[in-house]
Amino acid sequence: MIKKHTQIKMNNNLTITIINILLNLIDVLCIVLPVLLSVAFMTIIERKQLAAHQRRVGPNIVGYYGLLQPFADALKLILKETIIPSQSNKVLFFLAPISTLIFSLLGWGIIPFGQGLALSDFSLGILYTLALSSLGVYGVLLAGWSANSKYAFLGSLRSTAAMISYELILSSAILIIILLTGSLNYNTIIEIQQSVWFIIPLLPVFIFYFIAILAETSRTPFDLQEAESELVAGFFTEHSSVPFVYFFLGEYSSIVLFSCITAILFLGGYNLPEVFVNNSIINLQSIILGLKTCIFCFFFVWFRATLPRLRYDQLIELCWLNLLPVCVAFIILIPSILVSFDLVPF
Amino acid sequence: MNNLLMLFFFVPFLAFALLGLNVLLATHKPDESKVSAYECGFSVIYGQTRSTFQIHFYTVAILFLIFDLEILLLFPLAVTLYQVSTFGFSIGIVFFIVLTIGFVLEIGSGAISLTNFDQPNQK
Amino acid sequence: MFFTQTLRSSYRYLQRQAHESPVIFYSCVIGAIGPVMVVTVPPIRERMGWRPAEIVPTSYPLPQRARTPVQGYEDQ
Repeated sequence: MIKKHTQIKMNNNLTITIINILLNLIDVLCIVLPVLLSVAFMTIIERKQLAAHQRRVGPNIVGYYGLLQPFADALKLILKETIIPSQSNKVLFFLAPISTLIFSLLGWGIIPFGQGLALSDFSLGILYTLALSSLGVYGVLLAGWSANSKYAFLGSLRSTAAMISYELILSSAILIIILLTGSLNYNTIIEIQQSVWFIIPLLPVFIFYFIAILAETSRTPFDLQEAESELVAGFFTEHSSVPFVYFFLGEYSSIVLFSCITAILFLGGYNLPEVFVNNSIINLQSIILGLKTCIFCFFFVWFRATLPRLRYDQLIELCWLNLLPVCVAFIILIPSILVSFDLVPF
Repeated sequence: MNNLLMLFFFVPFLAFALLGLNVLLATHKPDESKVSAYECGFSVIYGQTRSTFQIHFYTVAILFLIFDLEILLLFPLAVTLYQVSTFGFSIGIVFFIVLTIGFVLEIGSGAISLTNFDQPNQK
Repeated sequence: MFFTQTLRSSYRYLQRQAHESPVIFYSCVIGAIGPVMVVTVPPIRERMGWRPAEIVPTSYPLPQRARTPVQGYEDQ
């Protein structure tokens, strides 16, 4: 009798655990699938918008207005042959694109899409983001080294140097925001911006920050890794089919992710100013966050259509000799203002 | 098991699943010219890829290590600036000024300017 | 005479630096404003009638008496 009772209890516990895991899986799918879709649409947005900047039509055959183009591309690339160069280090050759994809998708785990609508409301969210953006360098480095090709090696060296240099600017710009909020949690940062978006008092910092994320996602004007005219395709010269798709997905996922983080850090995330009190039946918060993210995605493509590519030494000098001194100056100035006017957050 | 842990399991699974799909669906017929390293049409020159590279990249990486550490060490100060108040702030400023002197030294020694390597007699 | 000369020459030097390497010059200026503000602004504000805010308590106040060991709750 007692044995049967414990059996039922154990069965019950097992069922509850399985249901919990399924619910977790559904939560994760609710984030990852829309992210993958948004990445796909980011590629078509980029092509259409670049076409519009150059007064072309852009892709418009597959689906309405070319909307199904990214899916057609993805299918084509999945069906292509994966070429593994004979001199390459095989394990690292596959591990590099996989790690790029993983590290750029994991960043979505802590983004709050609404009040309490995050996969994990992590109290050290900013540090998590910084850690993942640092780890993103490994994909580039491993890809260049493992492919054992001249172009891939040079491209990975350059883009590693550029990414780690601009990481400095990124983390110091984020440090300034942390000084104003006194918390590393994304929700707190958004709630503090209810009175004023940080882009207004911190406009110069926003400019550094945006330059840093342009370099961090290696977009034009800082896309040295794929300087087509000199390095063929940079660090993924040897990668084809699905490994190439992973680099592509990783790059565009990090563009959307960094646009989203910019919207959270500087444009108040899911909140609008008090004028629009957000208590209607439909929760507009995630739509507002999406619209703000779209603004920065537009900026990314706009810069690509406008600016020419920098040379490598110009890139390094812009970072170390121009941006970093000004960043250091602002890191001293802003806490001084806070301390002297007794505005320090607690 | 919480959601973040699930994400940590799910994303690598997704990556490997897509790779498996490619293995299942795509043709795989390698030949010698296909799997050789890409050289813009020339035949491969062996021993060129694992050769030396400029020390400049290494210097940039070392400098990054120091300065990123410096900025990350300021994060706890930024979070607890209210508790440590003016005294902690002044200590932070002293810390920062010491590192800024290092930064000036580093710029002055020309560690990050690439042009010095090309033309040593220019300046 | 000597003093004005020094002042003028240092002014000329700063002007030259602002022209030659504006980034370094202005970041030095911005960085120097900070500590100067910390020293000068609170006295000015206090003269204009500002009193420092009370420190927000981070823990409950401890009682002023001596602690008495609690009896009768041993794990036996």
